This record gives sequence, C-alpha cells and structure tokens, in this order.
Amino acid sequence: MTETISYVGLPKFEIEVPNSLEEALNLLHIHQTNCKPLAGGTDLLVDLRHRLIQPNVIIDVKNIPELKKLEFTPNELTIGAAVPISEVLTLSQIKTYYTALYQALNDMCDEILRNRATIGGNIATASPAADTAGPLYTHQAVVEVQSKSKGSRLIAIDKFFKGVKKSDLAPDELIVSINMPKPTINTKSAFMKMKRGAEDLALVGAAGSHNQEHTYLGFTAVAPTPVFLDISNLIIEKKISENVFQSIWKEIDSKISPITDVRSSRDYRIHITEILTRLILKEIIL
Amino acid sequence: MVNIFMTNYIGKSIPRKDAFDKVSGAAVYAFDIDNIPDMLFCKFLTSPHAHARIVSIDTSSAEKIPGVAAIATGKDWPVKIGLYAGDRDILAVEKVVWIGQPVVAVAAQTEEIAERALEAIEIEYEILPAILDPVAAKDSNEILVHEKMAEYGHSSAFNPVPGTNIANLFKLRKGNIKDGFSKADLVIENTFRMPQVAHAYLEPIVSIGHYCSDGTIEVWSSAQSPFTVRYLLGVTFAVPISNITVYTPYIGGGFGGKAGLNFEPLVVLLSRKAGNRPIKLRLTREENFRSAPIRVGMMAHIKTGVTSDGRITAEEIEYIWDSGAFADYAVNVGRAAGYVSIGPYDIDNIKSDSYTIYTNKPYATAFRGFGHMELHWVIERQRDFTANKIGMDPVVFRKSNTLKPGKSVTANQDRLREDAGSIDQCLDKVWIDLRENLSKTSPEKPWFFRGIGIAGFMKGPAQPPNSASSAYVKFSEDGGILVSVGTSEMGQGTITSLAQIAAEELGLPIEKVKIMGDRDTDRDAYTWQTVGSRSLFMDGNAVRDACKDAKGQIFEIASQVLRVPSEDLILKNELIFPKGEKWKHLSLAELVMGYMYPTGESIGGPIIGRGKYIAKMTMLDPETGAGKPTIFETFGAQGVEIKINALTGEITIKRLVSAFDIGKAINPELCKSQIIGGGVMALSIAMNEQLQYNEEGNLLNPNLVDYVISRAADIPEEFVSYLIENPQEDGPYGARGIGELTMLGVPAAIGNAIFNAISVQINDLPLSPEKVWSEIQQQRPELLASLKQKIFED
Repeated sequence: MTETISYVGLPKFEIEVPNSLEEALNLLHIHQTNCKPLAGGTDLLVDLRHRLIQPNVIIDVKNIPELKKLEFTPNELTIGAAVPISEVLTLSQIKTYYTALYQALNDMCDEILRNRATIGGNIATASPAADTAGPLYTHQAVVEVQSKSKGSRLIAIDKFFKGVKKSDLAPDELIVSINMPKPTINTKSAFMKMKRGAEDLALVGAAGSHNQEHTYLGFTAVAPTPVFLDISNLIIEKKISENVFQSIWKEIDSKISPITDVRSSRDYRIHITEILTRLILKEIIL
Repeated sequence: MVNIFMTNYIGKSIPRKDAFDKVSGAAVYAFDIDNIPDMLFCKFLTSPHAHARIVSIDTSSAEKIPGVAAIATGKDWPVKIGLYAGDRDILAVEKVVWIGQPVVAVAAQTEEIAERALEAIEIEYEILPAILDPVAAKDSNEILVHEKMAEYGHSSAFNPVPGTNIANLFKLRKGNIKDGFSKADLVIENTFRMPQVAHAYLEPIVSIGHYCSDGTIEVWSSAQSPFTVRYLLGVTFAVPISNITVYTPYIGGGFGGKAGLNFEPLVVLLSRKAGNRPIKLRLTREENFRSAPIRVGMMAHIKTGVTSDGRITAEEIEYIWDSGAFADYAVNVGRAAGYVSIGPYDIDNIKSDSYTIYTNKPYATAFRGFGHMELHWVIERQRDFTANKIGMDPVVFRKSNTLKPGKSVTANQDRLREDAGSIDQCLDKVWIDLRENLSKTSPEKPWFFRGIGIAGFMKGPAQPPNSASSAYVKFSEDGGILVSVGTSEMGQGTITSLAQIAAEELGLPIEKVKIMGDRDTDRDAYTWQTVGSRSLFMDGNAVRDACKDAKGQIFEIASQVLRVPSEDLILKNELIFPKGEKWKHLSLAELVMGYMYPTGESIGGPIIGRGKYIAKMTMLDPETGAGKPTIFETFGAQGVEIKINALTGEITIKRLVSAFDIGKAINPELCKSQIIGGGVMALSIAMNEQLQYNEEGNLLNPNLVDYVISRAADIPEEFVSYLIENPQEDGPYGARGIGELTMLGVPAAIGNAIFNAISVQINDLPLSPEKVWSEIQQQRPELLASLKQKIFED
C-alpha cells in the first residue's frame, strides 16, 4: 500500500514513567496490547510516526532500577534491558569475554544512536535483522522477563524469536535483563556484518563461538527470525577444512531463506552468509 | 592590470562569513519562520498511482473539520507552470502522472488538523497504464505522459516532440560520422547507465506563501534562485513581478534540488483561497523523497572509432535522460550534456543525440554536475576501455585526443580560448600523484586487490545566453560597505569569496565588508539563478564592476580635493592618495558620504556603486548544436586508489586525488572544502545511491534508512587537491567556477580503478558491493571460487 499521507508528528498517546518494576508491570497488566514499552525508542518512534502502531499508552522504562543493571560476576554477565549500548560498551569485560557481542554493539546503528538504543529493545522488536541476536545465541544468553500474571521466567535466546516482529513475550511481559554465563577459558567468538555503507542495517549478520565443547553459529537478516545452529558435532579434531565447511554449509543452507529487498538480493545474501561463515569459522577455530 | 597592491585578500583563506551563525545555530532557515501573524499550515494528499485519470474528488467531509481553513484542488488554478516547458500542474488537474504527485492541499490551524482532513478526502481514480522505463518511453506512441504536449508553451532553446514522450531532443554534429568510422582501426561499443538519485540535502523543502489582500505576494522559501521564483510566480498568477517579494533565508543545502520553482505556487494558491492568510508547508523527509524533484536517470549507447596509434576518429552517442513526469531542468540537463557529449576531447567526426524523456516517475531537476557527471561516467569509462584495447597508457591516450586552445567541439562552435585552462595539466598532476604514492605493501589478505583509476572532465555553467548578474555596494559613514548580490549562500562559500573581492577592490579590511547570507528580492541586486558554478564568475565580475564604479565616484571627489587627476590616485588601507605621496591622503570616511571642506562647503554625496555582468554566449543551432554554449569551461581530473574485497564486492577508497584548473583560487581553503564535500557526495552516488521503484512505480526507499547516503565513517582516509591557476582573463582575478566540478570524475575513476584492480568492467552505477560481486561472478567466476578456498589456507 502506498502511503499517501506522511505524518509530521506522532499520534496521541498517554505517557507513563514508572519508577519501579512493580509499577511498570501493573501498567502493562492494565493496558495489555494497548500499550508499548519505550526504552531507546529508536524503532518505536519511527513506527509511531508512520502509524504502524497506535498504542494508547507508552510506558517509559528508563527509570526502572532493575532494567538499568549492568554487572559482571564470576559466573555471569547481566545487562539490564534499558541500558544504553554506549554504556554496555564501557564495561571492559565485554570485549574480553563476549567478543561477538562487543563487535556487534560497537558497529550497531551509529555512534549517536548508541547512546539511546538498548539490547532489550533490539530483541523485543524481534526484527529478523536484530544485530545482537546472533552474538547473544553464541554466548548462550538467557532473557529474564517478568509480568504480574506469571511472575518471572527465563527464556533461552533461541526460544525467544517466533516470527517477523513476533517474540515469545506476552503483551503484559517486560524484558528485565539479558544474562550470559561467563565463558570457559579458550572460548573464541566473533561477529561480522555486511552493510551498504559504514553505518547501515545489516544485509546479513553472522556470529560464531567456539570452545572445547561447543561451536555455535547465529545469523540475522537471512530468515523471518534469527537463525541459530549448534554445530558442535560437525567440528572434528578442532579443525576446519573445505569438507567440514561443506557439511556445515549444508546445515546452514537448509535453514536460511533470505528475501530480496531494497538492501540486497536473495542471492547476494546467500553468498555473503557463506563468506561470513567461512571468515568467522577461520577466526574462531583455526 | 595586476599590480603589487592586489594581494591583500585574493588567494587568502579568509574564514567563512556564515561560519559562526551556522556553527552556533543562530542561522535562520525557512523552517524557523514561525512568527508571521495568522499563519496556517499546509499538508497535501498525493497520488497513489503512477498514471491515472482523476474521476472525482470529494472534500465535503474534510471541509467540515474544525480548524480547516481551505482546501484546494487542481481546478482552482489550472494553469500549466514550468521552468523551460509549461507542463506541470500546481495540483493535478485531469490526471496524475507519478506516485507522490500532490492532488489536494489543505490549509488548517495545525498540521495535525490538516492531516485529519486528508484522511477524510475521497479521490476516485481510473488507472491508466504507466510507463516507467525511459528507453521504452522514448519509442512509445501508445502510453503518453503528456498527450497534450502540442499545447504546452516552451523556451525556444528546446525541441519537444508532441505525440511522443520526448521532452527535448538535442543534436550535436561535426564532420562526417561514416568517414570517421572508416578511418578507424577499431570500433568499440558500450552501453552505460546511471539510476535516478535524490539530492538528500540536510534541510527538507519549506515554503511559506502569502497572497496579500492588496494583491501583492510574499514568499519565504528554501529556494536557491529567489529571482527565478519571483519571475515564475508572476507568470503563474499574472501579477506584476515588482509586486512579488521572495525571501530566502539560509539554505540547508540545495545541490540544484531547490534551483527552480517547486511548492511556492501551491502555498500562494492556498493563501488566496484561505482569505489571504499566510500558509506554511514543510515537507517531511518522506514527502521530500516522493513529491520533490530528483536527479535524472541516464542510459547511453556509445560507439567510438580509434586508430591503432590512439587517435579517436569518430564518436557516435545516444543519451537518454529519464526526466520523470515533468521537463523542469531535465530538458536543459539533456541539452547541456548534449553540447558537451564527448567530454574534453577534440574529435573530428561526432554524431550525438540527447533525448530527455518523460516517464511516470518523480520529476527530475538540476543536480550538482547537471548531466556532466553522467556523461563523464560514459566518456571516461569508454576512454579507459579503448586505451586498454589498443594497449596504451590511459593518460597518454587521453592526452593524444584532448581539447586544446583554438579547437572546438562542433565544426563551427566558438573555439576554445587561449586562456581557457588546461585539461592536460590536470590529468598529469593526478596521474603522477596516484602512481608515485601507490601503496607499496601488498594487501593484507589474498582476496583484497588494489587499483588506481583516473577520469578527466570539463564543465561550464549551463544557462541561457542572456543570463545576467548585478551587484551594488553601499557605504556607511565609517567607510565600510554593504555588498548586495542576488546569488544565494547554500554552503558553497560564495559570499565569503565575493566579500574578499570587494575588500580587495576597495582597499578595505574584510571586517568592514558586510554581505548578507539571506536574500530578499526587494533589497538585493538581481542575479539570474544560483546554479551551474556561475556565481563566483558572474556575480564576482558584477561585484568587481560595482566596486570599480564606487571607486570612480570616490576618485572623482578626491581628485577635486587633492587637485590630482583621478588616474593618479591610489586607494589602499582605507586611504586615498596620489601615487608616491602617501602623506597627502584623504580617508574613505571623509569622502563616502560627501566631502566637507574646512569652510563647511561640501561636494559629492553618499556613494553607491553599481555593477553588472552579462553572459557572452549564443543560441545553438538546432540541427548541429553549433554556437557558443558557455561562458567558460573549467577543466579537471580526479583519480582514486581503491582496495576491493573481491569476496564481498566492497570497495574502500584509500585516496581521492583531484586537480582543477580554476584560474585563481580566491579562497583556497573554501575551494578545498568544496573538493571534499563534492568528492564525498560523488562517492556516495557512485557507490551506493539509487532510487528504487517497484513495478507500479512506487518508490521503495523514500527515507534515509533505506536510501543510503555516505556518513562520517565512509569518508576516505586521504584527499589530495591540486589547484591549478592558468588565469581566465575575463574571470574575476582570473577565476573560474569549481562547485560542481568536484563530483564529475569520481564515478568513472572508481570504475576504471576496479578494472585496474581485478579486470572486471562495470557499466552501470551504483558500484555497490552487490553490483561488484555480481559482475565478478559473471566475468570471473574462477576468481571467486579460488578466493573462497584461500580463506582456510591463508
């Protein structure tokens, strides 16, 4: 459908600014599908202006302490859902232990938007091109969500995405944090993204991690949801050869179904997926 | 005429006059004008079809919405408007011709109310078959974008063909094309393309119109050429031109996209309908993409005959320019590219046809480079193809054929002046620099390749033969001046250079030269338009003329006071004195408002200097293109060193080297800023930009997320700029224009560098990673296969 009206401003809505998680969950419970949480707003504001969504209530979650937590303990890393990416990047352990995530965050949107954008927002939108999805999978992230009706529950990242812009979140549920175990020594991870210019959405995103036990791959912008693969059983003798790669590629190829759009053709997306996979495997295994 | 005193300001990098206002945010743009009493806001409803007849428009529900003041449709003022051809409706009258064309406009208390009114309007269309491809449109007699073309008025410089989609056909002829090809040892044919692109200026278009109750019209607009807007509004509304005032505050980038008449008639029409209340329209970025004009698309077929020792004997070209729904500037783009056609070369036998074609897409207008970036994409790629086929160095081959003084493009076109500048010097500077500084180390991975490429070019201002400029300088009591010109400041820096010229001519410190950044057609001196890299040359000459006029008046009085002939007087450092007798001086402040003798008797009076300049050109012969098409040509060359990732098709620009024979750099730093700005813009267009449509003609990337332009991190590591100064004797201090030139060679230089790096020829822009990959895939599949293997070996 051709847009014949281009709106100047946002549609009318009420804005709520809860100061506690409990207050926020109450609001979500009351308004259900009539409300939308606001973290960085980098997607939300665009959708509002184009009238793709018209909620009655916007719930600003930036003042909720639980969602602002950023903590690295001996066991795990916790990133509150509303922590801006530029702040996540200030934690030095991100680069050391969670290289793939670091590389994705450091290249996400642009330097200015990174002061606003959040990981919570990036996955909540459930875009097929969500840059953090692949790295979060390769770091085996678990998403903590809460609601008044169901309390707290944990969703493994590979169970989170359900379709284009559809996630496992119920209308009254809020992402509280993203948690990743501390990786074992000798874990290597990497993320690569193909774009049309220096700052752009991904044509294809690819992430991988590898250690003694496991090898994981995660891809974005190549299917209706991010694609996750555990290829640990295919990595023999901790080496990568053309034969090994072909067996891995067979698995990937069966799971991806890229589209042609303004950013790229389907064929180029498939080609880039193959190239990025090769480069990442070499980076993390050889 | 050069004397030892003329060195105070010419050639000096004076800080920009507008820098502080722009950096601090104090600069006022049309968007900021909110304080006009009783102002209403406008929103318009656009066509959802590329080609359709309007069956009915029902605005009755919308009219009842509180806060709606007026609703206009095409029938309210169904006159055809346009710059060179009267082919455009203010609002669509009988039919719509592209998706995004304004059909109904609402004036309301707020934009939100206007949007609600738009939602309540019902329009019924009868869909007509649309034609989107300019090549098909050129030969179509069945689908016509303008079936009433025969009824349209047009400028005599153009040749539209009624009954077709041809908005203009320009022909260039020289020698005998058949003989030319018979003398060739080798004939090379190619087809090149460039898609339509958007200007993507920072400031979307804003226009405010006020049809006053006394019949006068006031307009505030983000327009480059206020006098053209004034003139065309006079024609549109049959109002005496002196009763129209156009104000243009600072412009947030124009690049040609704001050069003509755009939404000004719409807001004036609505103002008249809304009881003479002022109406403000500010486009959203999406509206700007869909409803404002864009850059032409191009397709060219070229055939070149060459001898084995590198002499071009004949060149035959057909250019097809995709003008979209209206002719606007696109007919002149086709004409200007048509009379240059073959680039900066001397070829005995030429046949070139340049067609500007209507299609059911957004209409195309001027854009920095005006057909010349496109034509040099064709010519300079073809030159490298040819040099490669006959095994010659690309620059040696070019220099065997370049245009030299005394030669001309057509048989009887005015010949190139002795002082016209040198394309050869530009080519040499760039080629030597590229080769001497070529990266010595081999690329870090086996799939990275390095390459260098060069392109030469030329361009002069595309303007009518009677294009004119004027200026005046008005003194204050302290001897300082206000300089008034008609040219607009939209980022080029021209006003600073013009202030330097005035300071130099009148011996004033630059701080005492005031030149406004905004334009007011009542207050300011006339200029035709702010386009075509013409302002420094034309308005610069007018400023110089005005200063000379003022100086003459000053000397006339001083001559009486000092009892010395005028011709023996010197004006320097605000003092007037006889040559060699500095101590016998009068100050400017003593003279400029009239000189008073000690007795109280006074002579002279307030001084206003008046200056003008008019182009020296001719009309062109419709059958051969012969005549004098430009007032000067600026020559240049650009080259790049690139790194290609052959696995992904990504190109990194390591260095962009440019050389321009600009005659004289009035302000070298401003020239270099132009070179960087234009360079980045051209890189962006060359490597990424493309307006993409679906089969229905709907624009798929009408925003800056989907339409990718270069951003800070895309800027190359290194820019090298050479300013060559072979003076143009009729230019101000020898200067020629540079603004648009800074883009012209970039796409072809990259295309040539790609071939140099990986032996793959790419004929269609943009050179996006995907395009480069798909061409490698087609032309060198074995390379890709072997490089893939190397990832694990490396």
